[in-house]
Amino acid sequence: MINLNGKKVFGGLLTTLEILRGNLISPLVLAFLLGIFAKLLKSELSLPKDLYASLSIYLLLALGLKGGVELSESTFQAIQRPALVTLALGCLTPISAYILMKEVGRFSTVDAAALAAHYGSVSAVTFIAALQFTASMNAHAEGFMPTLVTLLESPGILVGLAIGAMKMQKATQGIEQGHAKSNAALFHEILTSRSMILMVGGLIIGFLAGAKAYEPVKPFFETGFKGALVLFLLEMGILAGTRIADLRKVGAALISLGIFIPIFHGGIGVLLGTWAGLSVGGATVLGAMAGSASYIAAPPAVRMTLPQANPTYYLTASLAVTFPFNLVAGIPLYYKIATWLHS
Amino acid sequence: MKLVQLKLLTIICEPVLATQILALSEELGATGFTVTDVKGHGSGGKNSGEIPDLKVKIEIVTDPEMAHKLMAALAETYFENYSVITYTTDTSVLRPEKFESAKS
Repeated sequence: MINLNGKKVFGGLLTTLEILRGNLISPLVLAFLLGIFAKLLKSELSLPKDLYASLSIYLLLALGLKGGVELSESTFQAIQRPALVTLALGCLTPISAYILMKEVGRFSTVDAAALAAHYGSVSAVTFIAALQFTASMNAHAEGFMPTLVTLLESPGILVGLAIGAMKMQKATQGIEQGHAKSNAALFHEILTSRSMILMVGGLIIGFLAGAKAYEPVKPFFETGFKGALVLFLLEMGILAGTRIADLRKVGAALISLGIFIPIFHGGIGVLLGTWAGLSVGGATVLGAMAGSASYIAAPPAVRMTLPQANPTYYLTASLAVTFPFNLVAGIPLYYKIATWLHS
Repeated sequence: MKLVQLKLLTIICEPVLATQILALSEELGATGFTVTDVKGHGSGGKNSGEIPDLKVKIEIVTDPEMAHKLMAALAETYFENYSVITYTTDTSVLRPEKFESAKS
């Protein structure tokens, strides 16, 4: 796409570098890098497990509440097309991820399906980071974006797992019956996961309460939000840092695909978002959502359904490759694509 | 005070399995259990399949027969694909009727 317009690229290149540099020195990215750095130095630093859980509860609920309040002020028409596009992304991205992992990455069927479930779903932290980034670029995303996250989270995992179940059927016919029971359990697990309950619940509370009733609780949920996010990213960095050693085990193919797939899915996300009428900020954030890989909701669901898949592949790919890529370069890239498509 | 010999069955597994294993132990007649979050890894390395890397410890006091039944079921269902270990230790309790298998 960029080659079509040689002159603009050169002019745009400097600003791209500026954007990248600006993003790189944001406290979010630096805190993440500090976490990785601490692990590389073999520091004993780690956030208490309960703080990690509390921070994620705070962030997800705050996100839901704010999104709900803004949803109460948007019209159904405005959200209709973006919502449809999001659902389409949820069905498409696991399929393309599966094909790429299987055909290009040469992964086994079960590993490719497990990876597809991760790349089909969405990473809430990447989403929040994209919101922060677009806000810092003065390209605010639409208020209903959190609603779209809840639409994208489940289908991606389900489609990815369905691919796995279909492809594995022949191999596992013997235990098929025992699995019938766990399918219901799986649906229950995905739809009632912590992030779904907090975000959907927050959306509903915010929507019902409206701006005026939200006002008294707003300081708690908004003033501390960015600071909490910095702490959370520090922990994400520590977690990613513990996986750095695994990068050598997973091989160059997975690392390359872990960077290519987000660019590919992110590009499609920005394109479809722009087509659906989203602003530059909205399309950027949708791109980041489509280009992200889940590492909270997807791993347990995959572990339950596709136990033969190697967790080292999907955890390392989503946490130590795709998440850092999106945080550092992916989100600014989706922003560039969005501004280019909008001009 | 009369102490009665029973078995303390310990299962250490990935968090995703906890619900299923507790349901299984109930099905087989266990009357109670204790669950703790723990850390660590075994011969399989740090591969719990979840972030952050944690494990769950389930403890069940029961008669030897039920303990063996549950261990056999765990071995058959989970040993191949999951990180899970299980072992029994001798233990003594008061009020043995509290630990009698509901199904026996």
